[in-house]
Amino acid sequence: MSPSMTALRRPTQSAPEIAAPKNSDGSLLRVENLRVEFRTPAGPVPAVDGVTFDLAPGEILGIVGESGSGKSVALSSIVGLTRGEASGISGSAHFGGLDLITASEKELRKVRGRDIGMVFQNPMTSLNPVRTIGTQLAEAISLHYKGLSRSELKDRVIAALRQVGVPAAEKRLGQYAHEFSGGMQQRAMIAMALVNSPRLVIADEPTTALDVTIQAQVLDLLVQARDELGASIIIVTHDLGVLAEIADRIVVMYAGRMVESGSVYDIFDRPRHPYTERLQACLPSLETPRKRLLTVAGQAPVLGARPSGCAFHPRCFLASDICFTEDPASTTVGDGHVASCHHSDLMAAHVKEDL
Amino acid sequence: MTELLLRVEDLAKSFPMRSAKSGKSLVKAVDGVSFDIAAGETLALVGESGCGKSTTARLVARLMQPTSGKVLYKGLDVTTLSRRRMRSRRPMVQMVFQDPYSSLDPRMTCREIVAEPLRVQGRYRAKDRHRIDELIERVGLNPTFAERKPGSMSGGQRQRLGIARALALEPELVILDEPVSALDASIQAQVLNLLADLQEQSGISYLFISHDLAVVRHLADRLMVMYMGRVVESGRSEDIFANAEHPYTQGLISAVPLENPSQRGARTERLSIGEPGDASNAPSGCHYRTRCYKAQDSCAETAPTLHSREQGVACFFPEARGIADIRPMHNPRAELTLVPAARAGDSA
Repeated sequence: MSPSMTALRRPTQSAPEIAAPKNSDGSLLRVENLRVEFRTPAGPVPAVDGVTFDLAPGEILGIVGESGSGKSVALSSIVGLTRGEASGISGSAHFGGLDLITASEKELRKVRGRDIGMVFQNPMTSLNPVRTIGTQLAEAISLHYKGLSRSELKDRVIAALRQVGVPAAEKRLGQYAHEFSGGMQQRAMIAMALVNSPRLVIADEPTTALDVTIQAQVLDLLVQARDELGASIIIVTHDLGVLAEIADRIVVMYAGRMVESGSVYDIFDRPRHPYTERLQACLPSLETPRKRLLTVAGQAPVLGARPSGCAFHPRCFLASDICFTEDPASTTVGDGHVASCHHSDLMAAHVKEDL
Repeated sequence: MTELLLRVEDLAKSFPMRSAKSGKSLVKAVDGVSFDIAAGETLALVGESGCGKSTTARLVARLMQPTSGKVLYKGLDVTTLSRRRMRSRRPMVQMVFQDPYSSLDPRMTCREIVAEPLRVQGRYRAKDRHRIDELIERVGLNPTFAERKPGSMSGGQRQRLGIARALALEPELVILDEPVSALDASIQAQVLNLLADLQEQSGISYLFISHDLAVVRHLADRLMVMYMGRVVESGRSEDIFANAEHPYTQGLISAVPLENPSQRGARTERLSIGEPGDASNAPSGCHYRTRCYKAQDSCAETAPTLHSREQGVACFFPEARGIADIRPMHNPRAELTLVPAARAGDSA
């Protein structure tokens, strides 16, 4: 385990708070009916359609889905990274009283990097190759906290690097990204995300490019950031195994929509959508190897070619006539557990049998 | 004993390095690696980035010239062959690369990509077109893909195409360099099943390179764990998973994500700490000692060696530990019979 993260708490000369600590309903982030479409020559294509969830302070939410499911687009839209002429975003994302969807770019800039830290999949392309790691971290602080002296800044940068487990931090802050290994680059990214002690950390596939050994350490760091800094975390991944390690709640996305959401135990032990069950079943198991793995047959639909009815029906082992024609509504199937499947009752029986 | 396909003897590869401080030096990327692969067998080569597993693969495929050591295809040492004579041996060993985006020419159609090995060998005839199309179908791609270019294909489809290309020359050994690590979890399972099916149909051998032991466990007959250029443990896959002896192997096992959140409570301390150091500045004696939970002073003096090429562990203080000794297990069946009322872990 890395040294305590307490040194990462906010600097004393804190700038005036932009966002309140939480929304009026007690959540930190409340996303409602988020819809993102991209304008293409062939017409508008919905990439995210009706995503709704809320995130409590200190909660770790996992968003899982395959490539093209809209999980990354949803996440980057929440922090305003998909704004532009070619996109249309609607819905709301209330964060500490501020609606991030309608907030001005100026307001967003104040929140990003300070109240919301971001970790991306590929650290090599997210870090600036021609500036030292130390300079980039110092910039991340001084953009939000004016009036820190050079030595105060340097101390904080060193503390931040040390706390994410970068050895010899004093030496390494003078180095460039290419002098860091993949694992160390991702640690530097996490240091940058945590350096202003944000309330929310959003991590888009933070471990996908890493070795399993380093993945385990990066996940431990995120949990530590939650435990010691009280940060809420949204982690986007295609690998449910990662979420078994750290998530409190999980949202499963397919073809731009949420197909199931619930506690991590709902999703793993009581899945009510066939897709959720398959995502788990297809993971190779260290404990019970088998020559043939279960799979999700076929592949996810491409943007703009959404199948009729339930979008998952061409790959579903439970699909019946109604699935071809009617889009299933999301139904509450348990406390805080929602699934969009015509056959979620059958799923309940199916899962019981399996045990 | 089945037929021996590949024998690798004391293979080594050093790269010259220039650094401001120490001037010129040599990095030993692969340092005395030996192994055999028999017909129809899968050998998995496991380790973290930079451990030399991909370099080993490239040396075996002779995409690179070793510094020393031998690579024998059915008894013939290919490390000394001329380019022309090597080309005549290439059909025996083919390779599938990790990144299906950068390993396929975007300007060629799928049919051209799969036919290219035949063209290079000067063996392509008009009648082969039919066979190429069959191959595209055999790896699970729709026949209509033959005319398409990889640009419009998903990662999983591209990797299937990469596998079809590797099979075009009917090789006896295919080297798979992290073939599924760039793919979605759901697509990984499809590609792993495809590889298992192809092996069952044609008796092909695999050298499977991966950093993920859960993936390896499904395919491998034998396992070889590498750390900083050296083999630290090797043996039958089942034996190693039942009794991992090297602390590094145990660390890799402990790093695999949990299978169910209920295991979190029972989590013991991780055995995988830190990350591999700089290969140009490898620790003396046992390279792993700086990350090892069992390291003693004596580990710095001499390097432990592997006693046999078939199985063994390069450690002075080996201790057999099974998966259940290293990490909490999740077995719903056992849990139901042992604790019928409450879920184990809820009470804690």
